[in-house]
Amino acid sequence: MTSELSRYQDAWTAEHYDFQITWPNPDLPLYLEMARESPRPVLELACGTGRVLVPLARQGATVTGLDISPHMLSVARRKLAAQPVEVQARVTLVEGDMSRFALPYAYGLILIPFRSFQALLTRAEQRRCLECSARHLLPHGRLVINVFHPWLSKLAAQKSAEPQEYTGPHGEAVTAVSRTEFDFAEQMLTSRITYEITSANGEKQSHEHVLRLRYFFPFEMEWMLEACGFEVEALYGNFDRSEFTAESPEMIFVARRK
Amino acid sequence: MEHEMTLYKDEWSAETYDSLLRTWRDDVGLWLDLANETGGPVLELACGGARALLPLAQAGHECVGVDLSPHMLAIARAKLQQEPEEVRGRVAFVEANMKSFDLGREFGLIFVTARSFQALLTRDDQRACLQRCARHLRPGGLLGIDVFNPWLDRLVQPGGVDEKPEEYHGPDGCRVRETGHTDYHLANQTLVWKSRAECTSPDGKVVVREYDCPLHYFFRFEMEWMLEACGFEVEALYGNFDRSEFTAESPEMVFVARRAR
Repeated sequence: MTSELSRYQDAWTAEHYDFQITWPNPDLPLYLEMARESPRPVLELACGTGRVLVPLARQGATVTGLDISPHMLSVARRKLAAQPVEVQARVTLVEGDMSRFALPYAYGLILIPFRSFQALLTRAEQRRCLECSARHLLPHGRLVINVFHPWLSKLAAQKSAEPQEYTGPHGEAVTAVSRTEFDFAEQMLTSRITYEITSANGEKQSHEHVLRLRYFFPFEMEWMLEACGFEVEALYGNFDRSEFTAESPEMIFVARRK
Repeated sequence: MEHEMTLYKDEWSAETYDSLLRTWRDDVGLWLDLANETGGPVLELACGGARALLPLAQAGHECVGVDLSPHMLAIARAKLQQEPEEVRGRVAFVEANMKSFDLGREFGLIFVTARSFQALLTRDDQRACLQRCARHLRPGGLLGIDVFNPWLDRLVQPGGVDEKPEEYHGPDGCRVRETGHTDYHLANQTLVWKSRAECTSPDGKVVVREYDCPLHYFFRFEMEWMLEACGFEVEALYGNFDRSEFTAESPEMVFVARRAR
C-alpha cells in the first residue's frame, strides 16, 4: 500500500502517529508556559492528534486546534473524550488547511509546533499561512513557529534517518525504514518510509508512505516573517529558550505583527 | 563582525583585480539584454573598474556607476577617457556606498554583478541597499543581482578551504603568487576569504600583501523572501549568466526582480 502523503491523511498513519513519535514531548513545557503568559485563547495549527492541544486545555487554556486530516482529528477527539467535561468544553477542533482558514475568533497565541510549517512546500503556501495567522491574531498577539535547524554537515552527508522500531496501537511490532532524497535547489527532503509490521499472531504486512518537508534557513525565516508583516521578537535554539547558535538543533521563532 | 573588507581599498589591489577580470565578459550579455528590455537608463552598484558598465554605454545606454572605492573609480574613469566623446557623455561615476547612495533620479535597470551584493553582511545593510534600489527604480523597473550558489560541501569543510594558488603578473610588472584560505562562519552565514599575494619585482625584491574579503552567503529562498520584503517581485532565477536553469550544481544565483507597482 503506497500513498503520497505529507499530511497524515490516511487512518493507518494517523492511528500510528502517537505510537511512532517517541519524543518525550520536550517542547510541551515551553508551549504551556507561553499559554500561561497569554490569557487569551490559543490556536494550534496542524494540531494532529492533540499531543500539545490536550495538555494546553488541561492547563486551563481555551484552545482551537486546526488540522487538515480528519483521521488525525478523530484520534484527537477520542483522546479528548477521555478528559473531564470542563477540559472538553475548552477545546474546539476544526478540519481545515493551515494555509487557507477563516475562523470567527481572534487569538493571543498561535502555535505551529514540531515542523508542521515545513509541510508547506511553496512560498505561496507559506505566505498564505502567515497572512491567515496575522488576520487571526489579536493586537500584540504572538505567533510561534518551530522548524528544525538544518545542519549543513547533515544535509551535505545526505543521510536518511536511522531505522525506528516501535509497538503499534494493536501490539504489533513495527520497523520503520526511511530513505531520504535531498533536493538542494528546492530545499526539500523527500522521505519514503517503509513500515514492516508483524502482528501478535506472526502475520506480516507492510505499509509505505511519503513525507515531503521543506527545510528553512534562519535568515530566510526572518525575511519571510518580515515580508508577511511580522516582527521577530525572539529566536531560540531549543525549547529551554536557549540562544540560537550554529549548533542549535531547533529554531523557535516568536513573532508579533508589525 | 571583526573582519573588514580591505580588498580594493588600495591602488595595488584595485589595479590587480581589475586587470585579472578585464577580459571576463560572461555577465555582460545578460545585463545588456535587460538594459535593452527596460530601455535604461542603467545604474550599476559596486561598478569597480566599469568592466560590465562600459559595454552597455558603448551600446548606447545612459549609465551611472556607483562604487565605494576611489581607486576602482580612478581606473573606471581612465578607461572612459579612451572612449569616443559620445560614449563619454553617456557615463557618470559616483563615489558612494551602495547602502546609502542618493542620486535624485530614477533608472530602468539597476544591477549588482560579480557577487558584490555579498559584501553586505547584515540584514540591515542588505535591506538598506534594496530600499535605495527601490527608490531609484521607476515603477516596473528591473533589478539584477548575482550571488554565488553556496555549495554545501565547501561550507562544511572543517577548518575552511584552501584556495588553489594562482600565479600571474601584476600591473606593476611584478610576478605574483597568490594563495588564499576561506573560513566559513555558519552562525551568521558569512565567509572570510583571506588572500596573500607574494609579489616579486623584476629586481628580486619581495613584498607580501594580505587582504580580507568578508562576504555573506545567501540561500536561494532567503534571497526570494528578502526581495519580496523589500518591495520586489522575483521574475527569474538563473543558475548562470547564460540564463540556464537553476539547479543544486549551478555556480551562480542570478535574480531578476521587478519593483512592485
